[in-house]
Amino acid sequence: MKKTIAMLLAGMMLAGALTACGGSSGSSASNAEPAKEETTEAAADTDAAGTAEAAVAADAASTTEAAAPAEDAGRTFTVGFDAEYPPYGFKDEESGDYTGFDLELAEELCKRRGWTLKKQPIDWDSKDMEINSGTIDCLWNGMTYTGREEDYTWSEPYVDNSIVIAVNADSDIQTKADLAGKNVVAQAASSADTALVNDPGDGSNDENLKLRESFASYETIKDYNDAFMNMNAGVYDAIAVDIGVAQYQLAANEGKYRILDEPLSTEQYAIAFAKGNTELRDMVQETLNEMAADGTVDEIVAGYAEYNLPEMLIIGKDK
Amino acid sequence: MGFMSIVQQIIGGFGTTLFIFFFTLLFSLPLGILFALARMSKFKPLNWFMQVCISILRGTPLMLQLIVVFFMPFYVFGIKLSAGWRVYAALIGFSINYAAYFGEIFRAGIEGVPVGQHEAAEVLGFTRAQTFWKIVFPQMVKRVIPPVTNEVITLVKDTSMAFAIAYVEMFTLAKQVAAQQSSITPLFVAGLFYYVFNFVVAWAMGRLEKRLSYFE
Repeated sequence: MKKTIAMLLAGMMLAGALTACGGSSGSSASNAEPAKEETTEAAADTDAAGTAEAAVAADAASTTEAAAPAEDAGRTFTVGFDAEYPPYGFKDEESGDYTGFDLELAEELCKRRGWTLKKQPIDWDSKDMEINSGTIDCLWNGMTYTGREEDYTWSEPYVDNSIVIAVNADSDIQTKADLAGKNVVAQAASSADTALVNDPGDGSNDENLKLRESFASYETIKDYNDAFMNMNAGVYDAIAVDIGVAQYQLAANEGKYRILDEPLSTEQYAIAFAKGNTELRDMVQETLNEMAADGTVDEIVAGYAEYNLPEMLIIGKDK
Repeated sequence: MGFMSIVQQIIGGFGTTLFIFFFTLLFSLPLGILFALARMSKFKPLNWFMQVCISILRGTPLMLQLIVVFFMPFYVFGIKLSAGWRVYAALIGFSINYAAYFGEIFRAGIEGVPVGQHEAAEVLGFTRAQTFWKIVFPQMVKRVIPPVTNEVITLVKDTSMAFAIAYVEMFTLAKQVAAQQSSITPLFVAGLFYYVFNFVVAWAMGRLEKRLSYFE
């Protein structure tokens, strides 16, 4: 009888025995929580009541819903981004926080608005589902506006970006014409991928489509970091990539890669909100314009000079 | 900079991976027994229903199941999703999927118990419940440990799929660190974490197996 009880317990301990090795999983998981949620208290400059409200709203957001009225000073502003997309959104090495040009802008914006910023790294392929279902308030991560005008409610474009071709430094590819018969890659669902694949049907993209047909192969890959590692290893000959990302890779791997002079296309970045969410868009745009007018945006972008971001910035400048 | 920084950053995600791993086991093992019993039920509709469920759970990608669980409340019922729902959706998705596999393993274990054991129990006047819990179940547990170990080890690695619904675990973190450092090393560090943890799992299960083989 004792044996059968032992057996019964053993059955339950199929799980239990394993927790002996992961015994502290509960506490480690809660330790990991802040790293994941990355909330930034930004209500410091509002009055005491406002701060209390912010705290309450932050609590509510973590448990149930965040459907507070949009004007509410204590609302949580959830930015969806791809954490493998430097310099727009990535994990900072020293602090372990998510940072980047776009996230720094969002932080400043939330500080001014008295909002609580929540940085939510997402699977970029699922961005539409995320924003439509309300799990994030906006997509702010070097998001291409050009060609997607009708899909979201957009802020005004704030960065002008081009798509370029990156190759190994010692490659014999010099012009786009040299790409004929080469193996080319882009990140899945990225703007470079769109530029090479999208056929609007009016002939406006025929040049790039024709270029793609000249490739020996065209593939997409999960993220650009993989693409560069693959190209370095000889798997691909060239990468179609946004210039900011290309500059980052060039700076991080000095002398390994170079960029072709001819861009694949030029495009603009803006902040995407769920279609119809003009109320939130207008509030964000208003504060962003203020930040551009008083030079704060310029200060932030100066930290990203090595990626050519100051040259790409178009907000607050005469077009 | 350097290796220690990579390890430190990745270690933060290891807790999340353990969290998914532990709670998935906690829910899916008992659920697997329920699945096995339903699958073997003499009540045909329940039996068929379970067969269909298991067929779908095993026949579609886990990643798709996670996405369906996470987004279904919005796309089917129009409920706006909250941030806190991610972790629950991940645990529900993982638990149901693994319960389907455990269910089939348990069924094999239960059906592998010789019919003579049932007959002997009946002669001794055991009820059906007593027969199951006191005679069949303990023998089943002994038999299924090797295949269950297989699944458990697979689960450790499958936790990386939680990022399909933006739940950041160790491998996602490793990829973020890889992007940050523009280096492949973080992925190998993550691989090492998985290997060491699975080594411990395999060792613990091996000991459990030995402890339960008291008739040999």
